[in-house]
Amino acid sequence: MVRPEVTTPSEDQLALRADGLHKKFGAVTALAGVSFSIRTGEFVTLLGPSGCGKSTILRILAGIETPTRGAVAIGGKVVNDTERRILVQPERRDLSMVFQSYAVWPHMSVAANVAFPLRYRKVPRSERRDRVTEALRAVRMEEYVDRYPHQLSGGQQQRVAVARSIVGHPALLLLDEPLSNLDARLREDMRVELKRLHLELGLTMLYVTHDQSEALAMSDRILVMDHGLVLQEGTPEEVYRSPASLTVARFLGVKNIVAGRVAGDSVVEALGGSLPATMAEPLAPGADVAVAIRPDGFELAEEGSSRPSISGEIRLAQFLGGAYEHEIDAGGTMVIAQSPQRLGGRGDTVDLSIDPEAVIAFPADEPAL
Amino acid sequence: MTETSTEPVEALDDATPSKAGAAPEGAALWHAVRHRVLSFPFALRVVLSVVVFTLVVLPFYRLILGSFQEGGPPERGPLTLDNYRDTFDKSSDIIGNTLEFAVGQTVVPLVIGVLLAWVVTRTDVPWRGVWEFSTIGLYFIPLLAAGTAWSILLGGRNGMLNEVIRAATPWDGFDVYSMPGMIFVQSLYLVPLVFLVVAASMRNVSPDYEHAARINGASPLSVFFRVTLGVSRPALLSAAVLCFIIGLGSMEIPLLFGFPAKEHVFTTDIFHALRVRMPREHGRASATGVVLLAASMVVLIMYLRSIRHSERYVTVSGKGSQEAPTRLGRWRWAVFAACCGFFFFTMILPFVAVVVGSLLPYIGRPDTELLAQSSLENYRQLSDNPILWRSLKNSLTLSLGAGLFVMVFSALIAYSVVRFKGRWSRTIDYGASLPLMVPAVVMATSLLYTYITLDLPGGFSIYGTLWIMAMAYVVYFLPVGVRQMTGPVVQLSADLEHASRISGAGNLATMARIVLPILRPALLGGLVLAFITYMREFTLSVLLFRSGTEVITTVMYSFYNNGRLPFVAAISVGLWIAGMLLMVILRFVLKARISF
Repeated sequence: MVRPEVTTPSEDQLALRADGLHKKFGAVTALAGVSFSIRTGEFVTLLGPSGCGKSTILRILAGIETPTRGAVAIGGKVVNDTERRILVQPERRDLSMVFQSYAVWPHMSVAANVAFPLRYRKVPRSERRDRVTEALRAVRMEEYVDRYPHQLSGGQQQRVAVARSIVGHPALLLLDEPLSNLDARLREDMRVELKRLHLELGLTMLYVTHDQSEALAMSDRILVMDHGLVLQEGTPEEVYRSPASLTVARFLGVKNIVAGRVAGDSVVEALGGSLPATMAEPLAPGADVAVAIRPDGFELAEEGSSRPSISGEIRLAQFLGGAYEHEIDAGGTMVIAQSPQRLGGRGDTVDLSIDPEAVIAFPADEPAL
Repeated sequence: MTETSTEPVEALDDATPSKAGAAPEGAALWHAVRHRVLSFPFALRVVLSVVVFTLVVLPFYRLILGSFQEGGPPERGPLTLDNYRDTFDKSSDIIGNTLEFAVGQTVVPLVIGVLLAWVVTRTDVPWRGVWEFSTIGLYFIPLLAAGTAWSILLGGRNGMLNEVIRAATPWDGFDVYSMPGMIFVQSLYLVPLVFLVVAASMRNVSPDYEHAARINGASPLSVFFRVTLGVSRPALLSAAVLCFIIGLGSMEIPLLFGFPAKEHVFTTDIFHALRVRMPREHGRASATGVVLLAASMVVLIMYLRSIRHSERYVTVSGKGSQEAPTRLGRWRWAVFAACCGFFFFTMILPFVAVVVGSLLPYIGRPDTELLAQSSLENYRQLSDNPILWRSLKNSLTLSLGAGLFVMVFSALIAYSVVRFKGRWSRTIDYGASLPLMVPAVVMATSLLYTYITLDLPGGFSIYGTLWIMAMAYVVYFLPVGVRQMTGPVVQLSADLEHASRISGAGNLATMARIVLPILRPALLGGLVLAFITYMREFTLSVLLFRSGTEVITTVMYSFYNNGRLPFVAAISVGLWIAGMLLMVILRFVLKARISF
């Protein structure tokens, strides 16, 4: 995949810059200093468990919450700076937002809902109708223009909310868990639609979710957050393949976290054998480690191969459609292995080799989630 | 301290960086001013506080102060206790009468209202919907019109029904111009209030409570007393307090029936001190008002103490099953007959009385000779009466104007309490709820006392204008209005407002285009309720009106006072029909659920 070259972008290329955002609710710290920026046209995701502060960031950017400390600039214009005492009201920020609860106004028709932002963006009356039609067409809702929200399904209301957020061509579009109230099928469809809108309209999007598959599928860049801090920032591939910490690894769906010990340079002892591994940081031999093993790293060991392998007994094998998932008892520890082929049946003892890329060793004293 | 999280942004409009280092303190102050003082949440609460203060707090302060002063406004005399001495010296029988009336008209409607609520919500009596509708409908009949009806039927020797009873039986009939008569009529028309409060509570109780009691061996009667009434205890108590305070403060029945019977109560005493006796006895009226206020506060404190453990009464709500938990069996038709009887005595008979009365030249024995003289003459004469038309115009103007204001204002208070939370909003809410605990007559006295001396620039005084009546009307309905709007505001998601702000609409535009329009159905329902409350209102009006600001009920009273009972009956017919029409509109067109 072709990605924009990562350089330090100049100010005018930035759609958003957030500097040192702090937020306290009484004694509770929601944000402990978060800084990041978004280039024009980029799709960035804030990923983290609920309560990690990601929605607070979005609300601060939108202006419906004020930071305790920090600064925000949108499209090069400072909208919030606690040092310089600048605070721009939400209605004067050039952005829009899609809410988890849709927030489609119940007393207005679909057309009136979508036309609402145009009134304040000084779009001439004559143009408004075309803009509304254009926005509704983009979300495939043009035939519902005269309906009222109570006549629409949840998914359709969400589309109206999206149309309303893109109609004014905002410099930045914020999306707060927009898919979490939809059922599984609709969520898939809507995910593809949102990505398509991003590409077709060249929108700059900041997306908040706790669902790692959404984040991996849609983003140009992901910020993994927890406890009011950014733990890691990178492309989906980067955060997935080389998580910076055990917490990030767990959060990206690594189910196998096992205890081990450093045996040498890039080798750990775990699961009753020796495994080649990637070290998250330089570790002395003999140090205790927590080893994260991605489920897709397992394959049957080739006979006579010099590659180190472990042996285990298959306890459960399930066909998931695209792949098989196995529960394997390896030296008394249960691990999950996913592979395109069936590794064996229940009760079979198999030798497995593990892709060194899929094995990452973290210092054992790192606090777990 | 989660307060900050729900509070919309404290406003600052433009990105105006202060000159760094130039005047840091001045800049900080300016920042604080723009940040806090000029912000929408701040400004809104300032406006709400000023209005609540002007309408509620200031008048009560002036009333209490005035009760300790010699003479009355405009001169303010030295402090004295004479007013209280006066009140207690001259009124030993008044205290007894007031208590007797207030207690009687609390107990009777409580019994009837609770039974009706139980029948409608917990039994399988036929036509439950009809009984609910007709009971609530009683609220839409002005008490003055109902009083007129009973005056025609049972008013002394000339009451039509009394004449019939005397002719047909050895008894003398029942004189409604007596303490039992006052309690009887007032009680009939307080039933809807008790019914609304208690039925709302009973409806929310799962039938499983009753079933469980039956299964464990309780008889139907002990289920009613121990379980059904038991879990509704908080509702019963609040209905009782509501009735008692109405009894302390309402004027129509004591003036209509108590005056001829020489059964005086505090309300009529205040009326005479302020509107009949010369010179006006403002000091005594305010002292009496304070005594009434104290009495209602005592009741309120007793009430608050008794509901301290109200969390015990948090009940599991029913699943909305239509099945009645209590099957009446062979009593079913007896209860049905009792409901029919209640309907007949509160609606049909009084309505027939005002219709017949409005067609006659005078009220007397309904023999063929009198009935032969029936005509539309009263209506014709009334239609030529300019004061009646003026009062009708005043009533409609006041009811609509004050109704609109009070509902929008209530919505803003509810909004401020729900959105901004915090002690300040709660204080505004308490202030707005205070009038619920204040007898109407005290409310009117305190407003009169405060604004009789207030001269606005240009020599304009609000005393004797429609404005002071509008103020009284607003205060009177404000607690109910805020209760009406709180639920709908709670259900209003803050995201709807955030979406509007982000779309580019400011605070005021969001209020006008998003918040109030979404609340419109609730506002409209509340407006109809306020309108009908104002149209039937008498106590405040009769103390505050002047020539030129008559309302329909005060005109009725002056006809009544001049012995023109047929005229009053004719106006009653009109109000009765209008009230029923409004009830039908509220229920079937607006589909509003009526509640307090």
